[in-house]
Amino acid sequence: MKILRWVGGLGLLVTTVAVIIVNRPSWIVAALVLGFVLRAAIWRNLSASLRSALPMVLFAVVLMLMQWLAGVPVTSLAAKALAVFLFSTAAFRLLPWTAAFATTRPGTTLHGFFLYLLFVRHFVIILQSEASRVLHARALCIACPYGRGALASLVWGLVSLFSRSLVRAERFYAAQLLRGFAE
Amino acid sequence: MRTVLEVRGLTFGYDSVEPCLHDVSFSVDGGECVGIVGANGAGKSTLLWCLLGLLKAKGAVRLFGEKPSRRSLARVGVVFQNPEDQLFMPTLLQDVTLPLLNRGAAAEAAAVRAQAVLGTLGLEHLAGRAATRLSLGERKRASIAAALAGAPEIIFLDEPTAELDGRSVRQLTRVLAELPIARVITGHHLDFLGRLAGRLLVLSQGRIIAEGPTQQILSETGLLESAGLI
Repeated sequence: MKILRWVGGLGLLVTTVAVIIVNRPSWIVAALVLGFVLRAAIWRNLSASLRSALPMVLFAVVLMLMQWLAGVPVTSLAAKALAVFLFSTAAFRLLPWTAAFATTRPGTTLHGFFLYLLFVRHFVIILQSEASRVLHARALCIACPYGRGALASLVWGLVSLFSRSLVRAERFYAAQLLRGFAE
Repeated sequence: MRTVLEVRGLTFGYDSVEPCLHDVSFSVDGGECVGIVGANGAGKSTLLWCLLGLLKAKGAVRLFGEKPSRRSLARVGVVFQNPEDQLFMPTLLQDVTLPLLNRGAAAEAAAVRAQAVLGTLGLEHLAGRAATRLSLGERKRASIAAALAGAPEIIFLDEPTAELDGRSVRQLTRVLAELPIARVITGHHLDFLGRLAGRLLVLSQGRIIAEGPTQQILSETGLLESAGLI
């Protein structure tokens, strides 16, 4: 099972690189479809897997919108970014890298790389919990999700999420510094 | 007892207009348990960050007779208010081992030491679990274990009872009471600090407005009221 997870995960990483290189629109569309199917299969919960990809979908849409507003050709950059996200997060989920981390020797490049991945994973968890708090608090405050003040509250919620994330990042950094990470 | 922490004339402000710590001075002896009490926003956490050299303040801080440095901080344990700021590894054992490995300990010796510390805090059966899968009380004890792994001579705890239920507070009190090292605990949970601390410093608007034996400070109702503690 472990070998299968390694093979599958590494295959996904290779596909991620391939998505960056290819330029044929039909292949990119196929990669996107495959990416969403994989995501749903690995997460085993269709709605949750699609919901968690929503911020990245929004990012891709805003990116295309900005290209269009700036008057430059709308490229495949947004679609590629979304596909890379889908494949790399699936690989991140599939690869048994946390178990592999325990076998690496402290001070080696591989150990440092896995530590970096652990930092990223931990901060994603923090971001998710902060975002869900902000969104729940907003949902309790507004009368209707699309009514008066809904957009303003969403914008202020996102601003507060940014400042809260900074505070959490600062504390996390300080705690790890005191645990000897600079040594 | 030897003085392990000495603070003289500590002043700090996030902006140049209004300092949030004014001329703070106190000292802590080895093995002593000191409580820093104050209402929300009194400057307790800021004071801790200044003591650890994470914020640059005016005045003098001496840890074991020297400025906070890598060498002196290696003899210090810190427990943050939120355990998630400290614990992030796949297993609790790895979380407790990590500071030892960072400071050059051999992997096997670090694992043995981590198991022993987890055992002391009654967490040995959870060594293989991730911190995210533990209750808040267990996570608090786990972050204390991570802080104690390096055999510190002084431990700083920032509001350790925040959000804990009664049973977890009792467990934490028992664990901290048994520690033979110096302890500096911030908070506003007077009952908890009343059982643990031998001495209390009352912080109000960034100033130490009173200092003395715990029972004496806790009996001064007017003082506690003015500091926003009751």
